[in-house]
Amino acid sequence: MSVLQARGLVKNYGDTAALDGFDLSIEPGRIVGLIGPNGSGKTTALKSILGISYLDAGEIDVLGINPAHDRKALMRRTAYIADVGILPRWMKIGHVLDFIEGVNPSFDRQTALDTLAKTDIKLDKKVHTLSKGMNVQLHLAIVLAINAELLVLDEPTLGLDILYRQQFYDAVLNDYFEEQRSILITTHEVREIEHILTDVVFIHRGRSVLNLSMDQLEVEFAKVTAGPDELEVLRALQPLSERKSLQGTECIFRGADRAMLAQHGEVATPNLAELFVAVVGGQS
Amino acid sequence: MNTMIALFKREWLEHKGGFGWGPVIVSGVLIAITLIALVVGSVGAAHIDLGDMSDDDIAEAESYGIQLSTDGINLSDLVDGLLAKQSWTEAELAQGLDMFRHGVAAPFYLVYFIIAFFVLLGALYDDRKDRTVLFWKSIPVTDTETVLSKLITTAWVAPAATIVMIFATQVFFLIVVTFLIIGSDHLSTWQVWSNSGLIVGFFELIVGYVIQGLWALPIYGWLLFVSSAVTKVPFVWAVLTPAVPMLLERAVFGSMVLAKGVGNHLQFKALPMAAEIEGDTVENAVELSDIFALLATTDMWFGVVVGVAFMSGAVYFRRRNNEI
Repeated sequence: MSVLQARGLVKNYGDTAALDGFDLSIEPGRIVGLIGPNGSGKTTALKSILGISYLDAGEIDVLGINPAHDRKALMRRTAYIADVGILPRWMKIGHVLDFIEGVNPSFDRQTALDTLAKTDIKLDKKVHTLSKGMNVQLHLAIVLAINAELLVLDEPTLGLDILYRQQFYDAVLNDYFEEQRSILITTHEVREIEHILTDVVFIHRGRSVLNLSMDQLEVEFAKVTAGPDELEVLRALQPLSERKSLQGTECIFRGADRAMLAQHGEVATPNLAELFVAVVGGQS
Repeated sequence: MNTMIALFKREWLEHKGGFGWGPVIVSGVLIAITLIALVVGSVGAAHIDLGDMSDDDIAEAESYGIQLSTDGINLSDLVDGLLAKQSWTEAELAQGLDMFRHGVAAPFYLVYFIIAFFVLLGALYDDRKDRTVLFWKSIPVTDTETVLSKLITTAWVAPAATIVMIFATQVFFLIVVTFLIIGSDHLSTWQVWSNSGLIVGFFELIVGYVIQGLWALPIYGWLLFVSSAVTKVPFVWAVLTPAVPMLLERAVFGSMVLAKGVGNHLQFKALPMAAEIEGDTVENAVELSDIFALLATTDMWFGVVVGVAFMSGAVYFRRRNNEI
């Protein structure tokens, strides 16, 4: 059974459509990256998945629950970290744990305490005394202690220095991720998460413009770096995009035969940033 | 149930600075002002200014041995009053001490209400402003539970601190009075304490606040509604919006039903107060029967219906409105 099924999601803010027929599905044990520029509808999509934002149209099912109808049931099985510190600044850390223990039966306090013991975070301090990095560490400790089947991360490492960012993803992979658990993640720093994703979804102007697994991606897309002599031949094969680089001209192809492409230049798999530009650039 | 208890604790933690320390500060200020006045008064240096009270008011107040002024509780007057009269009937003594207790309680009522006003106005607004709403919505609590927890904490949990501090302050003042009347040959400590109405008054306060929560429900509900619905300046919305229909009503029908209704529910009708007698009817609750009598009025239940409607509106907007 899918962890998440969303079809034709529509959300309008006045005249602007934040989501315009957005589709998404997540299977258990997958790490899905939702990639798109600012204003593409990423955050709105995440919020409607979590039942925080209401949709104007579309069908959505998360863990068998309609998020808009039963956010409470959903949040017992889902965890969420947002791009900014959203933990209440006036609360002591110990009180935050008490509170979550009181409202969420799937929260295990000891796990959270064990994770926090590895950090410099003290339970009797208030949240506002924490640095940005510690704030994310705390939120992560809470989330890891919730027995969640879906973890939603919205730009979780924004504003963190590189050390914390690395630790963050290590912890998510080592302490949270397992066979029956799934992660949905958005970030600007595509390069940072590229190697941990199993699936990728490109979102542009409220629609999903690409949705495939990283394995498929390697089969389906190829990047050829060619010298000036080969360029005309490659152009005839209708690349999605071409871009000048130091090594020559990089052309990105979809559905082309790699062996054939290899005759014209060096073939590689495009990274997500390159691919996004190629796919979305062609559409606008 | 666990959820609601956790929510109450969370509300209390956030607002203990207001609801907890508020009455402690009122008590401290009241005691300080009173004791200073007492000490200064006893060496004859202070002139008690009765301000613009009419002679009748002053006479009435003084007949009970207290001065109803903004200078705190005038203990020297109370004591002088107690000592001046040669023979007290139990009823007279009890009535005088009732007024004294109500005089002590009044500033607590006011401060509680002011704190409650701002707490409710910020309850569903501030977290949208600072985006912590995303955290509160990422935990397994329904929007109805959230809104209810804010109402219940403010209306029925937080008054506990106010009640305790009112009682403690009344006891403190009575102890001081006890010392001041030592040596009187016609008034015993026992007479004062047994007629003080302290214990009954304590229960009146509890019942009073339980029922006051219902009486003020349209006000509390309105504040939560505004807090949940608007995206800026909730204070302005809360205070100025009602003025529009009030002025329209007056212009079109020449009546002031709405204004009177709002004014009515803004009063602390269920809280025990000094008697205010107009003709044959007692306007303010003085004892338990007056407090319970409110439950039999149409005003009470009409207000509850309006309050519930505003609360439903608050939940409706809480579901939809997130960050500002």
